[in-house]
Amino acid sequence: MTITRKMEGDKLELALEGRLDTTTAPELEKEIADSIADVKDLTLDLEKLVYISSAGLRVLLSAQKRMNQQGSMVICNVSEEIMEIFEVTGFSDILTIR
Amino acid sequence: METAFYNGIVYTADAAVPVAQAFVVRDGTFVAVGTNSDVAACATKVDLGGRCVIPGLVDSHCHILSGIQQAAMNMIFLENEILPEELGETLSEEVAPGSDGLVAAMGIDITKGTFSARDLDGHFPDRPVMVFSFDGHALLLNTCAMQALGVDREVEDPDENSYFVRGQDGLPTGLVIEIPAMMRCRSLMGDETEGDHGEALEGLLQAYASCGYTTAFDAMSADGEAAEVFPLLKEFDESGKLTMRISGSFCYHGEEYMEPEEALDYMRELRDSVRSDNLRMDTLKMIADGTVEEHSALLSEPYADQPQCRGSELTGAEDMRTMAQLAAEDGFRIHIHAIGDRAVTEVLEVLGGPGRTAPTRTIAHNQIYRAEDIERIAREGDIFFQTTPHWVQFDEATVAFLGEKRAGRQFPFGTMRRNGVAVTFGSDACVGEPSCNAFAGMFYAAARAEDPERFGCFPPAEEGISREEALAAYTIAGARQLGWEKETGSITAGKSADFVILDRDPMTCPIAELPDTTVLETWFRGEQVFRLDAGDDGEGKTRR
Repeated sequence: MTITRKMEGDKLELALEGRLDTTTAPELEKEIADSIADVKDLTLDLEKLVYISSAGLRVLLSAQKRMNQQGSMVICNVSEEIMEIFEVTGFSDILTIR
Repeated sequence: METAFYNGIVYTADAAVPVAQAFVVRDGTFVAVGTNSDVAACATKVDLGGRCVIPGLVDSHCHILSGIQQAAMNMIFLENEILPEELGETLSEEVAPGSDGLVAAMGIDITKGTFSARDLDGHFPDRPVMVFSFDGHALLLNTCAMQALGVDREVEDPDENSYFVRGQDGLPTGLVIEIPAMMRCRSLMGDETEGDHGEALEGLLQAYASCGYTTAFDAMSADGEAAEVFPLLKEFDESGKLTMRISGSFCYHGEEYMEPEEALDYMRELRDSVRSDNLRMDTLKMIADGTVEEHSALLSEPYADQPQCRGSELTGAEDMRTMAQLAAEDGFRIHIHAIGDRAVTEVLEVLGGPGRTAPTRTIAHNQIYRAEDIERIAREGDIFFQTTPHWVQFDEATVAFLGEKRAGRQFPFGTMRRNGVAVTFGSDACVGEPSCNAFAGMFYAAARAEDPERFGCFPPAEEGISREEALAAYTIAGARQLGWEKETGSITAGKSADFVILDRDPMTCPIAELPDTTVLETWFRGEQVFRLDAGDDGEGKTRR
């Protein structure tokens, strides 16, 4: 997976490309942990994400809970396949998806 | 009707009568506090059998309301190596104590064995469980979930690629393959309904009562977008299901997010709509800095391990001043997060200046202090010093971040007490976290005074306090911080009958046993809201 990072003031955008699974989720988790301290708006662009597993969902949920405390988080450009996973697991109710 | 509780050791947290043997409750209120002979004439009596009683605890800074949302979506993530025969037990260990309703989990690999409802039924006979596979393309239901959904012999498969797995007898086994069939099970999760949130709140209230809390300050109830929990709280309050008082707060993040006047209007609206004997929404919360762990606490000298870093400001001083002035003039309490010494200095400027006329002023967390700020807070006289005593546990990372000198003078609550500053204790968490055990908190506060090194606390010993002072920090001082001292915080005639019956005497038991103090009963407004079941050994209760 490739993570492209764009920081502007207290806005952070992370664009994910490839597969977010057990192998790559720790990478995203670290990226978020390292850069989230002063962030008030976090955007995750999933346009080029082709697969998400439970390990990836876990990272999204913990990022969402963290951002609930300090600002907001938005997920954008979600593919149909990944949207299905969000919907069936109930994640579509707790994530802000645009 | 009057009921006398007698033959106890009653620590009242009331300086006029610090220890009593008995008290009388009428219509939800303490009407007398004294000796056994004082209550002898009372017709209905409860023998406390020498048990210890303390006032209902006050959590002076917690996040109970965030728990509603989190509990409503509390997916448990499992390792995908898990085998069918391990699943039920593993899941039962992960389920949050006090929770009920649906258990949702994710992470199994269905190629690791033949998963079926039987793997879950033993541990979850009457609670629905759904376990998603790690890739989100399969789902395992227990029998209770299948019954709730009507998944039986007659259930139709959406298509040949998406179906309910069946045994040789034609009955569904609990395993559901692919999204179309899984979507038919989605109704079990509901949408984000009040029902889900209601169940979550009920579980949280029960868990708080089991820890002895009858009053709490929620330190982040709304910030302009997330106020949807209030209708639910009001509904619980009106139907008599609210088993504690909750004081909420509006968190202001700065002008960039909301104009101060707009924030004030919003706060007024919330204050007017959420106002009852048990609910208040009359506090402005602000966050001056971050945390030491993230190197975002504002320090006057750089971090020991990052000489270029002095932390970061979360809400600007000017924004805090403007908002504090508006809020104070409008009668709001003010509660500001400050961890680093530079943040403390800024916040003292705000609270001692434009926020001066607020009904109560509180600095939350208070990790690092400069000597002149200790003098200043003492001089101010009525600013509350709020913190979480569990944080005095020694850890090497903090020493590396702060350097030995600063790490050796954190959380100066001993000096504060000696200078007459009101110290209040809270969990800074939602129930379930270790810091919600107030008896562990009392332990850290008192063990630090006794022998910090032996008990794994940060020095120095003079920054610890006595058990009596720690009890006050969890009761009467917290009630004063919230402006509820006339109603609760001590066992005093005329106050709400909020009290807790314990399994031991936390003021005299060996100090190492203090964290294991168990709440036997919690009473709120003269009603029993928690009772430890006979035979329950307290497993699953909050522990340090």
